Amino acid sequence: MEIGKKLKETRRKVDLSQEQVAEKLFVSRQTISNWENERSYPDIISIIKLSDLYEISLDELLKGDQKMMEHLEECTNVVESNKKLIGAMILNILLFLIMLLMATLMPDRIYMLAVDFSLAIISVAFLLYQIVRRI
Amino acid sequence: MENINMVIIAIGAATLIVGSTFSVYQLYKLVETDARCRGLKYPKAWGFFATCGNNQSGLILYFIKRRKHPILNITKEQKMIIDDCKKKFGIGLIFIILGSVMCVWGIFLL
Repeated sequence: MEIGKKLKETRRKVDLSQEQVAEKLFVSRQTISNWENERSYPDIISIIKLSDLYEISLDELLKGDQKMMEHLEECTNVVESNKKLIGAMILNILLFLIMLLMATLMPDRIYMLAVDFSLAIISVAFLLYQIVRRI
Repeated sequence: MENINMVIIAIGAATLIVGSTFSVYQLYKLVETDARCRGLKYPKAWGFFATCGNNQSGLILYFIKRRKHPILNITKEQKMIIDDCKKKFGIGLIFIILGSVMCVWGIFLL
């Protein structure tokens, strides 16, 4: 069963209105309505609060809803995203250092400098993409 | 030979301009939608502000500002717009990379 239907059914079982739930979770009534009609999904903190409020286990609430699991995985996969960002920053610093060394020690090797410059452009673009992905 | 280099630089510059314009618009739309989801006032202004600054300082300031404004409510349509804008931004970046590399090699080969 999808999470939206589960939330609606469980809320009705515990005899609470959307306004009451919204008040307890410090969100708007519209937000609760959107969750129940699956126009949007709650984040992990809201799910924990809902599970406490409705006195239902997280397992019962979440299991079986593939889309919800994918949404939570995306929200909490910060570690992977941070690794890529840090990796991009280190790569950038290395490439710029190499470029500086090459310009100083081997000013005649124009093609190598051009290759390094091109790699620096690619790595800066990758870093920018990682930053924008975090929006 | 010089003419060929000039042509490469011209094509590279054109690709760079198209890629930059496209990417900037996607970034504007992305930040505007994100600001709207977080309930920030003047989301369009924030979108415009995030695209300013030659070192992405506008975007960094937006990140600092939004720390105290978690997402209140995000609809499926808004989530789709955000995901779509991120993908299109990536495509724009590819054009920027191609254009920049062509310009660099055109200049170095002159």
